[in-house]
Order: sequence, then structure tokens, then C-alpha cells
Amino acid sequence: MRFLKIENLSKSFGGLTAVNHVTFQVEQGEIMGLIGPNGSGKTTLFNLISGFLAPDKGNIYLGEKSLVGLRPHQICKRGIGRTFQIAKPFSHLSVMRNVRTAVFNWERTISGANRESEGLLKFVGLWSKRNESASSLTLMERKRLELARSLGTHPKFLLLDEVMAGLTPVEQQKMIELVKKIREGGITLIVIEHTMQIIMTLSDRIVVLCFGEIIAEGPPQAVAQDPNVIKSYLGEKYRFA
Amino acid sequence: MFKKSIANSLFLWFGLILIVILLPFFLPPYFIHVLVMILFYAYLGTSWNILGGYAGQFSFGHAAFFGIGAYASTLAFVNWGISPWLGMILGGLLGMLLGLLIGSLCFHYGLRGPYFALATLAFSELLRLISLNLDLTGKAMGILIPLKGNAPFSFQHESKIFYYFVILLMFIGVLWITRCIDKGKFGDYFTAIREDEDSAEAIGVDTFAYKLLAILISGFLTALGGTFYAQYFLYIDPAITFGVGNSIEIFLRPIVGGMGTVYGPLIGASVLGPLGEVTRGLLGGYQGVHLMIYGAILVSVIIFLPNGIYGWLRSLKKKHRD
Repeated sequence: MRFLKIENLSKSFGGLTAVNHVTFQVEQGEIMGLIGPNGSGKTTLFNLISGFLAPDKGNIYLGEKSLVGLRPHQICKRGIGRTFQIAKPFSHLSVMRNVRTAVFNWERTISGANRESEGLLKFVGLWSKRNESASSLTLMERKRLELARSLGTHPKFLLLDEVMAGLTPVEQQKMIELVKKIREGGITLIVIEHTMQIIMTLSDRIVVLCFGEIIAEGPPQAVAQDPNVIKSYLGEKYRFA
Repeated sequence: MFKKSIANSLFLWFGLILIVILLPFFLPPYFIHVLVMILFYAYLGTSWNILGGYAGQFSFGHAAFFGIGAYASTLAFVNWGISPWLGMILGGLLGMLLGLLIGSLCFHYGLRGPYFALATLAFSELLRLISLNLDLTGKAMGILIPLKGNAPFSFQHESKIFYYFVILLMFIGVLWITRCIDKGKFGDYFTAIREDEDSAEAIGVDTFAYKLLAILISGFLTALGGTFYAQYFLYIDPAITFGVGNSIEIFLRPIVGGMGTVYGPLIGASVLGPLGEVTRGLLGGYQGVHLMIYGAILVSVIIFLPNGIYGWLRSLKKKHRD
């Protein structure tokens, strides 16, 4: 069984401890929601897992192997993909070539990479835009492109950093369906999201961060009723409907 | 209809090739010289473009590679009688070695944008000062390459047509390499690095290795250009090889023509070359005036056509289609 294990992970920036002794495990096939107020260390945690930051303490295991010390592209090759909170398409490349760049991670031939990119663009609904330059895309399309690109590397684990943020409710609904389809394809997901309704319907399990520490962990309903979570994240008087 | 268009484009290509081959035989030496310089700077610009345009690592010191190539083949020829053709390969390899040094230092320490540009400038200045003070390189006097007359094996000929075909072949070679890069994985990777390094890393691009690859290819090719220059003018000195002015000449054409495109540097060279000649011809009597006009035209191109002439032509074409 492949799993992703975070063990006692800590990271400080100067005097600020962004991630403080965090320990959790992600099982294969699940969707794990990661929530917490602004500045609680969610994105820092993603940056640590994907190798963009080095942890001060602790370890990250994929199966038996530690990922600490590897560079981001090496971690990507081990099977951990990610998206960025602010979508970062390669603006001057066409939509098609944006995705193809990711597919070259494992595919050697141009024709093979084109074929795979075609499938991915159809999957996220950007096939009609394949020849446009990525800079001409709307926010929704950028987020979809970001998703297609991270899928292009053939990840086993995918870290989604607020792929729903800034979308209209209709667009969000479409995105939720897309994320569910990705899980059905056998990819394990860790999802950062702010909208409670989305994270509740999407996740099998939720981890709640506050000031860099885990304050609750469990199935969505249990987490939503946890007094600590209500206090620190949802506000004192919040009642979960 | 389809067949006809293929036949038409074949005809067009055949005609173009014929013109390019026959042209120098009907032109006076001065015009051949203009053509040689256009192709020469198109060659250098295209070599620079692989690193500066595609991979987005703006080198302000490409004269370093150029000078290494020029001095390597020249010293090997003058001191040991080694044919500049072999010296050219030697220069290319040394250019690669310099690329390895600059690249592994700069990219390891994460120098980006203006910092990388300044570091490359520092390397070229370093080499200029070294060549200015070493007896081996003839100090400020430079090196005169002994005349051999019509000696194609020593990379020399009295006719400019010889040099025209040499630089034509070199340019076609570098154009072909750029086209291969542009179409395939390297082009995707280089552009991804230019556009967003973090995103590129996140999807499995070893940004360090590919930036290094870009500087190795670019350094090798630019050094070959240095040897061509030495053999064409048969004289080199520290300022014309390693000088800042030379670095600027190298990246000017791709900027004007269109960075990160296959044909941009050629277009830039084709516009700037004749422009420089015409302004000098018309206003040569007034010291420096032709340079001012040349400069003014340059500034306007950079302000009004930020994507270069090629980018502008492409946007015109797109507008026309829509």
C-alpha cells in the first residue's frame, strides 16, 4: 500500500512558526481536505511536501522513502503533483503545449505527448482552446489548465491548492465533478479549500490547521462539530447547518 | 487545390535556394560583405536566442563565448599551425566549458534576470582584462593572423564568396538546431523555464539541468562564430572580441527581430544590417550622426514593437485572419 506520511514536520520563517510538529497520513485513494484560517500554514505545508521549501524538522515519506532533500522536479517524478494557489500558466505557450510540457515528464515522443495532451485537454474541457496562448484564458480556464498540466505528469498524489477560489458557484460545481473524476481515476488527493460547503461534500477526511498546528482531524461531520474548530476557524457563534 | 499549394511552396523554396546560391556571383564585393555581416549577426543572434530568447536567461556577456572561440582558433593557428577549422571545434568546446562554468555557478546560486545578466557581463569583462594583459594574447595590440591567400583548408580565401558560403552553411545549421528545439521537448522545457520556473519544476522539469543545457548549446555555437570573425577579418583584439559592445551587437538583433522565435534574429539582422549601412552611407560625413539615427530607430522599435518585428508580423497576420 502506497501512502504519504507527514511526520513531525516543522518550518519557521524567522520568528514565525508556519508549520509546527504536524503529523498525518494520507491513504491511497482518499480525498483529504486541508482547511484552516488564513495564514494557518496550509500552503507552506504543500510547499514542504512538493519540495519548494525544506523543512526545519521532521520527515515526509512516500511509502518507505523519505522525500526530504529532493528538488521539486524529483518529487514530481516520484508521483506527487501540485497546483498553485495563483494559477501559473506558461503564458506565451499555447494551451496544448502547456500540457505537453508536463507530459514530457514521462513520454518521450512528440506524437505520443500530443496524443496524451489531447486526452487531458478533452478531459478538462479545454480542447477547443488548444491553439490559444495561455495568456488569453479566463480564470476558470486557467485553473482547468493548471489541473490538466498537473495531471499530465501522471501523479499518484495530487495537491490541489484552492482550485475553486474565485470561481462562480456553477463553475465550482463543474470543478467538483472534475475533482471527483480524478479520484475515480485512482489518484489520491489533498485539497486545500476555503468554502466549507465544498470541502464538506468533497472530502473523505479533513485535517484542520490553526497557527501551524493540527487542531482536529477526522470525517467532515465530526470535524465540523469539533468545538475547537468552530472556535478558531468558523467563529464563536457559527452553527453548522 | 492542396497539391497545387504544395507545388507552389516547393517552387518558392527552390527559387529561394537558387537565389541564395547564385546571388553572390552577381554582386560586387561590398554587397557580398553586407550579406556576410547580415548572416553573421543572424548566426550569432540565433545562437544567443537559444539561451536568452527561449530559455529566458538574458546573457549580457555573450562576447565571452565569442572571444573564447576567436582566440582559441587564432592562437592554435598562429602558435602551432593548427587549421582554424579544427581550432573552431576546439573553440566551441572551450565555449561549452565556459558555459559550464558560468552556468553551474549562476544557476546553482539561483541568479535570475538582471543578476544573471550582470554575472555574464562580469565574465566577459574578466576575459577582456585577461586578454588585455597576457603576452600570449598580444595584449592591446591583438593578433594579426598571417595571410595565406587562397587557402580554404586554413579557413582563408581572397574572395568574399568563400566566406559567404561558410557563414550561410553555419547559419542554416544553427537555424535547423533552433527549429528542432522549437518544435520539441527542449522548446517546451526552455519556454516553461522562461515563463515560470516554479511551475516548470512542479511538473518535473529539472530547471537547473535545462538552463545548463541551453548555455552549453549557446556557448558552443557562439564560439564558432568567434572563429569565423577572426578568419574573416584576420585580426582580433580584446575590445572587439570580449568587449561590451560586441555583447550588445549579439543580442540586439534577436531583440529587434523577436526573442524566442526561430526567425526573429534573422529578421532583426536583415533589418538592422542594411539600416546601419544606409545611415552610414547617407550621413557618414557627419561624425556620429548615423549612429544617432540608428539608435533612434532602435529605440522606436523596442518601444512600439515590444515582441519584435516577427511578433508584430504575426499579430498582423492573426488580425487579418480574424
